[in-house]
Amino acid sequence: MLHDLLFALSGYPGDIFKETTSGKVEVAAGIPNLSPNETSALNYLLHLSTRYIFFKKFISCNTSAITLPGQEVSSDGLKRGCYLKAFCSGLEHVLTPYRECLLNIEKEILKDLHLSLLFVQQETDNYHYLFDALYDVITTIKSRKAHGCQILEALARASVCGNEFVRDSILAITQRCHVVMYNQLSSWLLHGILIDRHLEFFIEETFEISRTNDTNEDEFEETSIVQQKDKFQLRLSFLPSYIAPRVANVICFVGTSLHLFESDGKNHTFGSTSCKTVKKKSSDLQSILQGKDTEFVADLNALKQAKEFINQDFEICIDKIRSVVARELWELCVEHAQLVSNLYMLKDFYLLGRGELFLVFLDEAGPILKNPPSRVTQHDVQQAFLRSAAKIQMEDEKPFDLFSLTITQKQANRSTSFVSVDKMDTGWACLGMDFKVTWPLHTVFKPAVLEKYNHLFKFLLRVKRTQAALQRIWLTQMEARQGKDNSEDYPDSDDATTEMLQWKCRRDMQYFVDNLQYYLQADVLESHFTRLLEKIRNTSEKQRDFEAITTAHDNFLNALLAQCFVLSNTVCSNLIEILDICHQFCELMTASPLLHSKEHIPQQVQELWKLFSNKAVVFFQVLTRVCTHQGNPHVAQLTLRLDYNRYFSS
Amino acid sequence: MPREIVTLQIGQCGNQIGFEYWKQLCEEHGIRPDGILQDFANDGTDRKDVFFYQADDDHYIPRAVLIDLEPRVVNSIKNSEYSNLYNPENIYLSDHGGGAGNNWAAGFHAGEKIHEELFDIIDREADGSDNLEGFMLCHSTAGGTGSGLGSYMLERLNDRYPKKLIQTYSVFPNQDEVSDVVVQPYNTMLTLKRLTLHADATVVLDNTALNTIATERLHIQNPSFSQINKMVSTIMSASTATLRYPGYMNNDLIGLVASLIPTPRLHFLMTGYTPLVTDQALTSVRKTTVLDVMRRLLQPKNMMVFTGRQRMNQHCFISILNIIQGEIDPTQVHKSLQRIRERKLAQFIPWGPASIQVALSRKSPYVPSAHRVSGLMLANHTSISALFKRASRQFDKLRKREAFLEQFRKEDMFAENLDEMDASREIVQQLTDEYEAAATPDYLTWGEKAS
Repeated sequence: MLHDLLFALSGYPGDIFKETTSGKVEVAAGIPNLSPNETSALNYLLHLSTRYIFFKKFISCNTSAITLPGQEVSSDGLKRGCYLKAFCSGLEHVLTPYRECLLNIEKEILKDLHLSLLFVQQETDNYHYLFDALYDVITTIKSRKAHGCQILEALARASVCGNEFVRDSILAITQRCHVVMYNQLSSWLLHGILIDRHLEFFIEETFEISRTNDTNEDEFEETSIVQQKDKFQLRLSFLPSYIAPRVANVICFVGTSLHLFESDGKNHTFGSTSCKTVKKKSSDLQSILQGKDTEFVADLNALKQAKEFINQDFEICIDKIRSVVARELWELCVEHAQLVSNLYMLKDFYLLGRGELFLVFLDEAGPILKNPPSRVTQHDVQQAFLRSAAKIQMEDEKPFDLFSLTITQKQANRSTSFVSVDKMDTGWACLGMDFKVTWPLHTVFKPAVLEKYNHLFKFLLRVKRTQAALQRIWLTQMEARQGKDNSEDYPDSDDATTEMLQWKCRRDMQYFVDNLQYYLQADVLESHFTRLLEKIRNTSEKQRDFEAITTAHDNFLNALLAQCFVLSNTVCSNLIEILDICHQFCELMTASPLLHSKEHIPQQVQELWKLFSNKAVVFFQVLTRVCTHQGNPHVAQLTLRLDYNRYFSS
Repeated sequence: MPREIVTLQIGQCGNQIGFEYWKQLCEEHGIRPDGILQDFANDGTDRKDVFFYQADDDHYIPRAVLIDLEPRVVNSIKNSEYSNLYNPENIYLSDHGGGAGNNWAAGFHAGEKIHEELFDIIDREADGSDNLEGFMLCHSTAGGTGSGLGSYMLERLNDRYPKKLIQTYSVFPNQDEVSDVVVQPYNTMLTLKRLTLHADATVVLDNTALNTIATERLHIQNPSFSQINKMVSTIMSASTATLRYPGYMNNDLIGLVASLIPTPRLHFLMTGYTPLVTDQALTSVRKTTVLDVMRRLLQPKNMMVFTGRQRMNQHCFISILNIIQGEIDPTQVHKSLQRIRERKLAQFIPWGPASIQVALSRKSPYVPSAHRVSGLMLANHTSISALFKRASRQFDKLRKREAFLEQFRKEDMFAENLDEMDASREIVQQLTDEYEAAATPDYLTWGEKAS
């Protein structure tokens, strides 16, 4: 009888201890000479058997040596993977003591036939807790269909447990699983290779090819241009809770950077001087980690062997690797890829640093973009852009290979976080700029970053357009007075009033736009740009941390967006309305000499003028309100300029 | 290159300051006196092409037309090391070489005779440019050629190129000392009329103030022409800096002047420059900051127009543009603006919004300078009426006595009557009144009252 019991406990039920259909092992009904007490005691013991059989099934389900291709899901409904296998082997491992225990019991029983059921009960007592805990883990895994690193999470939860024995066993399983993780980590952290056949790691490769590129085919010819932008990203649902997101991001960053050196780097060469050094670097991994890779391997191995996962040690190790990689990437970007000159280039183009180029462009593209865009607009605009460049003799300069203008049709307005700066029915609203990011710099100039640049570009171009239009009106007004003066008679009083109003109207509009421009130039663009360069210069002396640069650059962009008011709906829409009124005035003034009946012009000017001054006052009030509420120093800077002689505030 | 500017240098004074100006531009752009680019300036991103064009052999030629009725100054240019810089076809010297005899009328009538030849040159220059923006005219209002021929050219340019800007750099005579040109007040008055009616922007360079600055600020006992001209060329080059270097804004002449000029006639601009140094460069003790520069620009003693005491009282700024060059911390601009407002260092018009506009520009990398920051102020200030009043007063003095008019009567324009003189006086009076009205709150309705 005890032998039958031992058989059952080691997973082989027989006639006395029967496995029911629900998988439960119980004492078969109708066995004579068993008191109810004994039955319940046996049933209690048989609980272990139930669990054990369950474990064995689970293990055999998930560790079958042959996996047919296409059969990615086991009969338990779990996807196959290394973590699952590791878990099973861990499970097997913690079950070994149980089997030994049974063996022991058998030996004892053979020695002493009088040993009672109680002895068995006493010997196996510990395993009740363990088996229940393990059962819970497995059901969690099953019910959640946990895959890969998610298994770690289930284990981590179970390891929080007061029972020393249970805890140790769970940790033993965890350690097995961590071996898989550390293997993945070390190939990722030290070589930038993502080995993840079953998609189990908490970092994944993204395959989506980014947005608008499919419109022009010729772009694909460029091999040195990086098209697949952000190749790796965190898979947050796979991230065990005991690894902080910060650390995970660091891990992602380190691997991505190494990947950059390792696989991408070989295909890319730099112009002229730095070519050799980088090639050498990418082919020789040693120099990236500066010969420290053995040290890191040792570190990771030590962690792998540790019984328990200690967060602090892990983070220290990761950070150590990070600082080396970040430094290397810093040198690659700042020194070899000339980040700073690239920043200057972006400023020249996206932020209209080459004002003269865009001034010509506004003339060239004006007629094209006045109307809603058609199929050929894109081509026309790009040609106009190149023509402008040729006119100011810039066409030979390098940037023209990198920058191009694009027309994005209406679906582009999905980015709702920004205020649209143009009416939708003109080509201006659809105008954008593309920048072909050269190889290592796509780590800084990500698509999201370029989108921000694009918004600034649209806004700044809009302001510049208005300014240029008003200046043209000044010229026509100056021209018109010649005719008057030559006719020698001084105009009558009505004419004088009208004319004065037109002058006054233009002057005030011009004043508004000019001061906005001066504010943008000195207080916003130049100030923040100097700050950014300063920060980059600072990092070159100290830790040379690549991420410090990206942070500085992000801060720079966000400050620009905020201070150009592109983010603030009320301010921006007011501003755009004012610019619209200025445009209406300009259109009226350009059209007026061509009209036959000029009677209505004074009235229209009067109306526009009223509208403008009302709007200006409203705008000023909005600004002061925003200023006092949020304490934005930049708003005060703009109001100081607009209201320098306290004309608005008094 | 679009938005080119053609410079016309007329008369003795015009050619002298023009000469200094081109010298300065060549230095700033790294162009040798023979027009060849220096090796170190090869990869500059500056926009030389606004003021220069390249000949077939790649040497840079100024877009300048040199005009004089007497050969002395032009010949001295021809004999200088810069002789090969200019296009010889662009130098016009009158055949008889007698000059205008300091007589406005003679200069004006010479223009009627030679304008075809002059416009051959100017048209060629205009056609040679891609998109001519305008003309820069350098002349003085005192002598005969600069004032008389200059006036004639202003009228004709306006007819011929109505869509082009005309900016003048006009040197007004020193009215403190007795001039050798007795008819100076007539010349000035007649020129002022053309400047008022035909120029789009006039940068007033007042010899009175220039001399005072030279003696008081630069401690030169008897300032020479070349020292004064050096100051003028500094101002001219600084005021064109934003056109010659890539930048965010003020990339063309309209952009520069449109915001300064509210109504057609109020287009007489004063200038100020700091720090001023002569050839014997003084080592500066102070560290120049943006605030220093902006504060000093507002001081009357740094202004290139002498306006007397009354400036601080009822007069005010209509508009100000400061062009700051050098290594600037842009965040300082705002602080300086704040400080200037707190201290009430500048008075503005009461009839509209007005402010100090600050443009940041690059500085030539090739010209060493002891100063980190330098600044130019272009301002439209109502006290310029003092200059016109002074000119009117001196004109009236002579006119009342009908003094020195024989020379004028010899020319057709004045043969029958002197109406032209009185018409000019009338225009200048209107101009003076308008500037004075601009200092009052009801300037906007001034036009109605006047007519």
